[in-house]
Amino acid sequence: MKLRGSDIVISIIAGMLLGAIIHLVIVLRIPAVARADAFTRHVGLGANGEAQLIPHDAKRTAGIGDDPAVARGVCAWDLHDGPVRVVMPSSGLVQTLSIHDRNGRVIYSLSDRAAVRGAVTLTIMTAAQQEERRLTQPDDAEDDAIEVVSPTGRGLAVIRAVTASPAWRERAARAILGVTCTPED
Amino acid sequence: MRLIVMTFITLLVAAITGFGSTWLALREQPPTGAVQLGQWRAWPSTGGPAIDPYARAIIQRSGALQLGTGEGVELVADLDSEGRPLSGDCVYDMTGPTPEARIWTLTATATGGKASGEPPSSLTSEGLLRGPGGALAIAIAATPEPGAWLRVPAGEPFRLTLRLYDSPTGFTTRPHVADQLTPVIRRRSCS
Repeated sequence: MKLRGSDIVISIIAGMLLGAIIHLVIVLRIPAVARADAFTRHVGLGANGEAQLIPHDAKRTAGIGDDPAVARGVCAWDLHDGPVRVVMPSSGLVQTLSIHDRNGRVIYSLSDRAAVRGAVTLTIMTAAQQEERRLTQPDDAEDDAIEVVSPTGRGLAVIRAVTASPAWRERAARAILGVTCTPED
Repeated sequence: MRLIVMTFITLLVAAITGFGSTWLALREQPPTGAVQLGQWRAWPSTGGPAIDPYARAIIQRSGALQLGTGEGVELVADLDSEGRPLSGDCVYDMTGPTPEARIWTLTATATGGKASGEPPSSLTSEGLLRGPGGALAIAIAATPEPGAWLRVPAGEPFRLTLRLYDSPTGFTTRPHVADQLTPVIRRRSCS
């Protein structure tokens, strides 16, 4: 009944294999179970079809994508009632737009340099909605909108405006509040 | 008895290695997918749909909104030109090639992604004081310096984040990111 050295080695190896499985499961499951993720935090912003500012939190201004010199706004979107059109008018500031899906992936991003006739316009839709558009809309329909296909039905549109100096804060805030995200008819 | 002890050892080792390695991997920066650009590091996959699983776990856990590839590039430096950790006890000079971007910002924060007690300090390329001949010359120190100065918390280790907005360095447009030239952070003196 005595424990042999080989038993301990086998136990340790088995433990490490199990540990590796635990590691993978946790890393891959976190996005699904996280409760403080950006979508959950900001889902209430932009519900009326206009982007809202994310307040600058001095305690948190350190992490990924959080630049103290950049004003950020969010418009949460929901494709349940059809595609959503996001319009970001140019303001003269360096402005960027990124579309985040429900699971923390950036599915599309661009800057105001891509603006056509003074605004960046894109339409977020599911693959099924895109298919439907293909069938119902004529090929030569005139539309400046970029089509963004989302794997999830909900997500966030994030607008950034770079403020070169604190005096530009006001202007950046106005630029962000001018972004709309409304259901397409 | 032997089986019980073996099971116990197995579970103990599994718990320690499993939870320990996960904690280490998600504590701060993604352990995989980093690209080294001079003294700076970037995680190119973070800004797109094919995001690294570690980066996604870290982002989802912290509630961060990462910069999209089409928006810009985020570069991080924790070490000086000789590989020593950046410290608020020292004075540094940041010189070298100006990053290619429509606008860029340089931010000093505490390491570990936490903010230091004071509001974070940052500089932007717009209206930046330049050295002789328009060269990039930023002094990074806890106490004021002539010219362009980035304040850092005294006596604490810090991290520099360089964000290039609307940059041709974008990982989508320039696959050879390693060719990019980035500024150098040199230690001048320490107190």
